[in-house]
Amino acid sequence: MLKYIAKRFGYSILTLWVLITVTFFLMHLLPGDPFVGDKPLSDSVKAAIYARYGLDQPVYIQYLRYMQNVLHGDLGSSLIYSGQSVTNMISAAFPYSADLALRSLTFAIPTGMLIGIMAALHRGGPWDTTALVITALGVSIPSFVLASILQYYLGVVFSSWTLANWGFRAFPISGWGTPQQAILPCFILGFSNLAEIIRMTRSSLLEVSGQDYIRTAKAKGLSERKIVWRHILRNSLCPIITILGPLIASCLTGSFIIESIFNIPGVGKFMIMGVETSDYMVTAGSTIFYGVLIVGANFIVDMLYMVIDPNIRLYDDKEA
Amino acid sequence: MSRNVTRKSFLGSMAALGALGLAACGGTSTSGGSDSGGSGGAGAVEQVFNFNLGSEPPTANSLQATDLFSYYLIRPTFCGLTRLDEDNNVEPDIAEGWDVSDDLLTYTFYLRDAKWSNGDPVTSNDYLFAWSKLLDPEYGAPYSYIFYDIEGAAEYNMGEADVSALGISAPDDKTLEVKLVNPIPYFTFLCTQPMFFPIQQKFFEDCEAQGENTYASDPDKILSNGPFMIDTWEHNSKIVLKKNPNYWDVDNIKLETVNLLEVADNNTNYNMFTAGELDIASLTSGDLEDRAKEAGYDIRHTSTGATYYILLKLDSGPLANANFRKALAYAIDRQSLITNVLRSSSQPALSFTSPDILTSDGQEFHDLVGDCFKDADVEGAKAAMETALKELGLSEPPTLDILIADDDEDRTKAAAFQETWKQTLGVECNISALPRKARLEKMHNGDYQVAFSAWGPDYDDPMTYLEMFMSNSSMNETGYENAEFDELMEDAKTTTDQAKRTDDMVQAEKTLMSDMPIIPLYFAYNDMAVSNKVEGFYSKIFQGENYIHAEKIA
Repeated sequence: MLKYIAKRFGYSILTLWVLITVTFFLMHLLPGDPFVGDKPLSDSVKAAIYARYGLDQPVYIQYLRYMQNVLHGDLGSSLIYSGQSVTNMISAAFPYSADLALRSLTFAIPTGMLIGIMAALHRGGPWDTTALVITALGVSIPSFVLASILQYYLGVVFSSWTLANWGFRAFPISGWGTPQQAILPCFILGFSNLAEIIRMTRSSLLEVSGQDYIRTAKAKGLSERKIVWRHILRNSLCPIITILGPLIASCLTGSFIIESIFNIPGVGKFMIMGVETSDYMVTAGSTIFYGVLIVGANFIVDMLYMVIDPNIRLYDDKEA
Repeated sequence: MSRNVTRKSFLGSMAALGALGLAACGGTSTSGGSDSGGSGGAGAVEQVFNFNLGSEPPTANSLQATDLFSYYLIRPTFCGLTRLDEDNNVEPDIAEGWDVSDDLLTYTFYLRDAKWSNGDPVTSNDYLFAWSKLLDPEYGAPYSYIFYDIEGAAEYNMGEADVSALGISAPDDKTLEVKLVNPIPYFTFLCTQPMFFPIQQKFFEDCEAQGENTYASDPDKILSNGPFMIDTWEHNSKIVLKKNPNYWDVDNIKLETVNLLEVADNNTNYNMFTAGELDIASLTSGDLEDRAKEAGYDIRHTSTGATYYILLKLDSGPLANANFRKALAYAIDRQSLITNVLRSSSQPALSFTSPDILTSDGQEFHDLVGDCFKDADVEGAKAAMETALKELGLSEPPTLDILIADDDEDRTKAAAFQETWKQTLGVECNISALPRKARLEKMHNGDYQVAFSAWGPDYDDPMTYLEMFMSNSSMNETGYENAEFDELMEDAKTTTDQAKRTDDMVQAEKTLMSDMPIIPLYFAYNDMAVSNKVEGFYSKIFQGENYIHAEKIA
């Protein structure tokens, strides 16, 4: 078992190292240098700026320096935002994205699993129809459309009405901090994940329900409740947990669209901003940040497998 | 101040870029919401102005700033020797007055008693230091070239002379003397612009001692001498400005607080305006303008001074032929492009220099030049193409490559020209879209055939538009070379006879337009809606959105 953990951990570190290295070199290969402006810079000005940021050194030296800083937890300074350290930028913005993600997942995961389970247990019934409708809507309506529509009709039209009649705005248009401001963005971010969770839960449950051991359990005369709780649910958790890891990680890395429309100062924009402006430091920093989150989430999922799936423990012991 | 200066194009590209912000921190809601929306009852009106920047300003350091967002932060927090009034006339600011020598080459400024936000006096050394630092070859300030009319500036900046060669001196704390190499009539105008703002040497050096680029990175690292000072700066979220009690003209400032938000999404920005959370809404699309009109808001159209144009690489095949270039220019229907494609209030450009620019002897330059060709001149275009093909010895019109930025505005524009040129002239076009910086790099390297560009003026004089087409200019990306043009411009630069100077530049622009190395498209306008609770706000070329003397009313 310890060996399994050590092996997974080793793979995670290796993955991160490959990610950082590949990103670093790819970025420098991209055309467009961070200091290209609308007006061409004179050679002497360019040389001075390059020297200031250490970009006059060969790329491999820049890489070694960068890796050394990363190991000390320093992601460098932005090339575009003067005097701003990438570590500070991300750590100031991350609490907003994390807050948004956790709230929306608190809504989406239990609701999604509940609807998915009910739909699988009562196939063809009203729960199943609800699941189908939500899945279809969640997959087909892009979140920016849903966000714009809800922001306009609830945040502008309905809220002006509540202001006139009840003396307060029901839904703020944008911002983050009050519970009211959280409702729309959390619902919209949660809604697209909801569909995925319902779909996975339902199909996983149905697959397990058809297994021989369930038939055996039924033949043994176990109660319906016991079969569902002990055998179906537990065995169908594996695929659900597999998608939850990356899902949580991707929510934590911020939703560019939701954060932009609802004006939430989260981390969602940094990656796009970094690439657009050729800000090597912001691009590399946010890649490492995403990488750590996703690799970390997968590592936790691997650990959870051991708890819920005895096959993994057995297989590993045998191999050892 | 440079290409692509309009708010519209900036917001367009920044929307894709995705800068965003505002919201709350530490549990405080910053969105006006219920409190500000319903207030405004009895008593004095709260003097709080809410303005959307649209993106995080890259810097508050006047030595490094080159972009609109940084200027949004620097303009209200600093003041120069001179400032502009509402009609862009130069008036005294920190300088109470100045003397100019007869040869227009020596300026002596006399400073008034003014203070920095920490109470220290503003001295002539603050200007001397900022300007020398900006020209320091090791500092690498991007706008250094704009100082090159000052004696020794170019030489020092290019490392050919040392700092003692600079023609700037501070005989005492209240006097600043500047020697020029060319008798430019717009020097006091330049002093109104952010790169000419002062910095206190001791404060700057103390900050930089804590690490490179520390100066101006946070509110306690900035010393202001302007109407406002930065109170809080939540990076990538929100900036709060407070009235600066040490500003010399503080009695004329009515606003107590200015909230600078960073809302990137155009619809959100407009929705917040309708809810009273913002005092100005930038109407970045025709749809938003329709909504604002319907709601009966005070809508303003202001010229940005920027001319949008098509850049042609002259040494590239058929584009070397003037008639071929003219055919492309005449064929375009600018009015239709503006009304149907861009849906803005911009004006068709049939010459290069913006109509807002005055000559040094006070005349409207655009009127002197007049329209240099007709808009949507299909017949003229066909005739020019016929001549061009004969001259080039071609039987079929050649194919062109258009280089564009990877955004919606460029894509729609390119598609419109592709269609027009094919229909009218039979010229086929390939479009290649690149990320912004990669595209600029290609253009600077001359690695393109047809590209889009825009030019915004640095100062109020036609020189700022025309100078870049001189054959020795580093900004000349077309490869245009005409000895007659160069000579006219050289004359205009050196003469002290303002009437002759004007005449030289009129001739130069006419020459440029008959050679057509660029195809003017439109003079860009900004469209915005202004809250009826605001008085004294205006938007003006060279100043941008100016709320310095604005006031909130009930």
